[in-house]
Amino acid sequence: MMDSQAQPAAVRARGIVKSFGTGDTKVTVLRGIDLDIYLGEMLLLVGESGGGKTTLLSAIAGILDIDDGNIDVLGVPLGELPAGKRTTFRGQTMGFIYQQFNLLPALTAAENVAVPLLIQKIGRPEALRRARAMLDRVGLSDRAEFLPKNLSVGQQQRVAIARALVNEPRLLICDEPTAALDGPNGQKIMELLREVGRSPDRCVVVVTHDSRIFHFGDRLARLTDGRIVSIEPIAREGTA
Amino acid sequence: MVSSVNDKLARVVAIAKTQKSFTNIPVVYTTYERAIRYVPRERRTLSYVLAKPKDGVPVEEVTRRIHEQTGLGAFTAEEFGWKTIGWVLKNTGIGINFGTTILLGFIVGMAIAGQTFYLFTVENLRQFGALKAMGTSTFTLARMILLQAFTVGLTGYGVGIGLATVFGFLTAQSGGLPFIETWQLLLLVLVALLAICTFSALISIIKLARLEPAIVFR
Repeated sequence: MMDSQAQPAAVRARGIVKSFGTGDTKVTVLRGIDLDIYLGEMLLLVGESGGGKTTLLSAIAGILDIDDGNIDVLGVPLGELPAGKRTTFRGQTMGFIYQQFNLLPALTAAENVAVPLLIQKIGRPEALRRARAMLDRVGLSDRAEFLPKNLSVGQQQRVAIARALVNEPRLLICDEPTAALDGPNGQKIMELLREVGRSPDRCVVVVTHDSRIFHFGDRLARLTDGRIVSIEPIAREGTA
Repeated sequence: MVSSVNDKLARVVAIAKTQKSFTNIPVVYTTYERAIRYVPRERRTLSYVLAKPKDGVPVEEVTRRIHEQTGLGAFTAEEFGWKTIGWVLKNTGIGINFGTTILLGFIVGMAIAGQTFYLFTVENLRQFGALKAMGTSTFTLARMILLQAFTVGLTGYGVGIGLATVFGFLTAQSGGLPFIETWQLLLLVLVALLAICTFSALISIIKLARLEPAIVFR
């Protein structure tokens, strides 16, 4: 395990409160979350369904407005950024891996991976060159011209990982990356994520309820009823 | 062949095969003297005189001089054609009927195109949400939607105009009702089509502008 906490916090969340609905139907999902995530580490956010994991992930990503509190990502206070600049900041610094992959069905694997680069106004030939290189890193160089429908679910998630990493984000956000995969495929994806996703100048946040992949993380934060009830380092062979 | 027109005997020497028209009024070609014997007695028995200028005399010059000397309207063939079209549109049910059909087509086209585009957007909300999460601005998404709408619309325009033109040629050749296809008409249709595309895209753009990218995590 890297000595990640010696690094500055890449994500610093303080007093995060988020509710949905109004009046009698108001539900408070996050109740004053404090959390630091460090460069070089992979943090797993775990807890029961409805505990607020995905809401916290959305807030950290800056794609969901919070009711109270502050979130700094790489030293930038998200709440103070106008919507447009927050979108640009997200595109430049974050990568996303989704439970359902969310690949664009009409684009090939290489084109899907190139999307974040095209959003950053990088020319199409260069974007595709870098996309193919990233597909090579996730072991899919021979599937670059395949449409998502012609790939297995494991391969689709690998394409999604390549897409999330192609613009070298400093914050990688993963929402249940193994939920749509069977056990062996889930293990492979986490191995891949750990191998190509982890980096000293990047932090990886993974929301999961799959206990079989807990050992891939560096720290485990448990959310229950909108509160973080524990944050523990994960013991690994040779490090515990 | 001897026939009768308004109870007056008439010898038919030939039957002309002419182009069909919207008005099903029989036309008799005869001399003016005979014609006024066939029609009922009216205050006016002459609607217009068809004249041809001598070679080398401009038509516009002739119409101007006729108007100056008689005080009556005198028109070139093109002017008379448009005047006739205007009269028919204003004084017959054709204008209302065709206008209603076109208006209905415009409204139905707009509704169907708008609904189709909206459904496409709703079906792909997660993908749009993912793009937003990855840093795509609403402005870029709006441009994407407009590009798709205009691409589909202009493709349909080309196919539609092409088919209509072929239909027009074939119909005219087989003696059916002819129709004119002027550049002004094509331009008007294009403007109407672009309006439909813009409206259709706008509904989707509003949806996307309000879309929270957090939808991808739900």
